[in-house]
Amino acid sequence: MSAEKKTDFHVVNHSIPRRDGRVKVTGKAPYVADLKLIGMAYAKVLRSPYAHAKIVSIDTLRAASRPGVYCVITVTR
Amino acid sequence: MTDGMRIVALKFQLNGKPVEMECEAEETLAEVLRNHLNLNGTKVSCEVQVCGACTVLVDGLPVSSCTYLAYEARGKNVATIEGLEKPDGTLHPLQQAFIDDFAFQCGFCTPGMIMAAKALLDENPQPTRAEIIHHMDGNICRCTGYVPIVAAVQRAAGVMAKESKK
Repeated sequence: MSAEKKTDFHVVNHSIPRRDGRVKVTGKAPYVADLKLIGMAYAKVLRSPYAHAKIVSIDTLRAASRPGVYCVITVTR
Repeated sequence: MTDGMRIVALKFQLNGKPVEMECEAEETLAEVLRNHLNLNGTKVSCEVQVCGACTVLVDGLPVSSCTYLAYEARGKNVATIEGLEKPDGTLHPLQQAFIDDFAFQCGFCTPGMIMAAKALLDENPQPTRAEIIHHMDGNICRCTGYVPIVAAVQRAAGVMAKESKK
C-alpha cells in the first residue's frame, strides 16, 4: 500500500472543526432545560422530610387551592 | 406578603452593561440570569455548588451562580459566557481553544469550564498543568473529557500571551 499524500483525502487525516463547536462555546446551544414554551407548566416533587417513615395520609387541599396550581398528584393505593 | 415573598431592587453590571431590575429576595443569580434576563448560557445542573456548570464571574472571581443569591451581586460586575465573544464575532481565545482541542462532547459543562478557566488566566496568565487541574477542580464534565480541557486552557494561555506581546 502506497503512502497517500494528505491532500488526497477530504476527511481522513484532516482536523474537521465541529459543526456544533461555536454554539457550545458561546452558550447559545439550546438544551432541554433552556426551552420555554407558552403555557408551560412546572412540576415539583415534594419528598418526605423523614428518612425512615410511613406516609399515613397526604392532605393536598391547601396546595391544590393555591393560585396557579393545575393539580396535585399523589400516589393512591 | 402572605407567602413571605419579598421583592428587592437589584442593580449590577452584567458583561459591562448596567442592569436595573427587581427580583425575589430568595432568587439565585442563575435564576435571575436564565429566567429574568434570558441568558441561558449559564447552565444549572447539580444546584448544590458541586458541579461548576453554573460558574460565572463576580468581580473577576468564579462563583456558582446556582447557590449565590442574585441580591449578593448588587453593585458588582458579573461576567457570563455571553459576554466573551466580541461584537464582531471574534471568539475569546479560550472559546477558540475549546473548539480547536475538541474540549467538549455534549457541551453542557463548557460555559462553566470556560468561565472558570478565564478567572484563572486573568489572575495567572501562565499556569502550570498542575495549577490548571487544581483550579478547575470545581468543574465536573460528565462526558469525562478532562485531558482536552486542560490542553485547551494551556493552548489559550499561549495564544493570550502572544496577543499581549503585540
